[in-house]
Amino acid sequence: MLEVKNLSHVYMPGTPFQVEALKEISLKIEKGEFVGIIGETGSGKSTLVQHLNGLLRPTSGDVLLDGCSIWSGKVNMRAIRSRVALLFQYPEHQLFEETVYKDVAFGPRNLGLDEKELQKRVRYGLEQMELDYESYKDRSPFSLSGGEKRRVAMAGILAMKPEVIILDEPTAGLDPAGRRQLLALIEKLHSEEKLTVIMVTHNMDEVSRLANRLFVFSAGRLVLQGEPAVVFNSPQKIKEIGLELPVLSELLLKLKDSGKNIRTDLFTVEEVGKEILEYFRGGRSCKV
Amino acid sequence: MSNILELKNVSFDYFLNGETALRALDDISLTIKKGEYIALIGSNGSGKSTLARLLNAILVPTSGEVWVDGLLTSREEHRWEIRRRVGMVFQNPDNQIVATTVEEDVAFGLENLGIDSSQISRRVTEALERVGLSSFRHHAPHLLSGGQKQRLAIAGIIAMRPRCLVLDEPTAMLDPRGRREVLDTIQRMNRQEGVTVVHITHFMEETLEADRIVTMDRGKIVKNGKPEEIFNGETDLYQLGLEIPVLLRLNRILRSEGLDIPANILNLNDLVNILC
Repeated sequence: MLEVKNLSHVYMPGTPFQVEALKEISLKIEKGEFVGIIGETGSGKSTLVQHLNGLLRPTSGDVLLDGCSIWSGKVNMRAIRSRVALLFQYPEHQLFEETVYKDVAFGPRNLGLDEKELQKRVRYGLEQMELDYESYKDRSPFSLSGGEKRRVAMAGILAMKPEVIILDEPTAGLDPAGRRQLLALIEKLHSEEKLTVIMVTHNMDEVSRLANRLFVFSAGRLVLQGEPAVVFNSPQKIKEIGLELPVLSELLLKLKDSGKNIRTDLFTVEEVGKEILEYFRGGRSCKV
Repeated sequence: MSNILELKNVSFDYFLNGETALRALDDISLTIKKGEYIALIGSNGSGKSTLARLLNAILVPTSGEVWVDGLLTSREEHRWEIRRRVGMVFQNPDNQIVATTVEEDVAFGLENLGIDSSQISRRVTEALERVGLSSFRHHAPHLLSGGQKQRLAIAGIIAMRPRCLVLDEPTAMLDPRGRREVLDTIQRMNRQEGVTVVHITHFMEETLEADRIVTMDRGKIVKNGKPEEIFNGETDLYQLGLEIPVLLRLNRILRSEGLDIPANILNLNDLVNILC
């Protein structure tokens, strides 16, 4: 559905501050995927995702949506941005309207929808984020808690009825309950609303559990890609580029290194617990 | 061991238009010993940051008393000394940089204390060494990574030779490497230099190295104890908007299914050793 072809991006070309932020990136994301993008600060993750809905223009290379270049001039950029919606880091800093309703309606209003459809969209966005329409619509966004503000910002992009949502560190700064709730809602958007999800994150535990595929960036290059089980099976490489393994993967790999015949491709506490129990119950050499 | 921080029946109200808008802290008492490493956890709005700001007199209590090393924060004449003894590090590394080179940034606080320049230079050298930034001395701070910037903020604080370090979500905006760097630095300060640490965090894994965890909810301290007591106790952490670290959840499953693992296993290496 989305394809990046030989994409390079240079910030401030031709000046002393020239930085090559992305180098020859090619990747494909299929409809319905849940993709994780990981890498150190400055590795090019955010630059990449801003290309996916045309916010940045590649210095060279191309971005294709359903096989068509978004820079061919034949497609309407506004239509692209409503199909592929991007939520920035700390999106609540961008809330500015007097009411939650107006804030959520801001994006879809620009699509030229009539008031009735607009209202339906706002209701949809808020409900997807488990914010009750009647009790929130007239409130000031500034009176809300941090977690609620984040969900209002998210409702604003959902109200555009996008097919793809790109989330840049959606849980940064939230408390554990806020993080858990937002991740559950994102999971639901993927599984029930059938949205394609692209999530940039520093949290290896979360992404290993949620994503079906990972793209790993380092210094502007795409250095690893594949299912979490494949990516985190290269612990040396992951550490080299400044990342960490999910703690459960680290545990399983250490057990395996010590000669235990144990699976290392599991990412939830329940699965890992079951695997360890089976191993020891199976009597495959144990002290415990 | 003597107490370095003491809160006695502290309440704090935020005011709006002359009226109490919010009681952020409600009759809190807490003592922290010299050299302790305290992790402070609680959901957003539970009062953690307000409490932190009371510890070096950025805020003073509406009622009750906060004592720092024998000094009372509500006494105007004690504040300068209190702020020298208790250093604060905040969440956003970019908001804490004041100068155009790393060296000047670390020296900023010292200059304000009126220390002579040869001593400043010595202290800067020492502080940069302690956070592992010596080779960046003449660099521009804005070109550092997030983790480096946070370590720079810590260097600026430790150059003042504080007895206590209060960190309000210092790793929230960092990538895994930056997080590791900052956590290692905090731990070293505590273990090797004997600096008392109060570390506020939303990452439960980061609390496992603490001597004690203080848990807050709606302006009150709900629980106060060793990590294994907090995470294995009866208190419903989920109810408080918190959670249990992954390895402890795993440990719990394994134990409930009959594997003989001590409940106080907190880190990965210990768990691996037990299982091998």
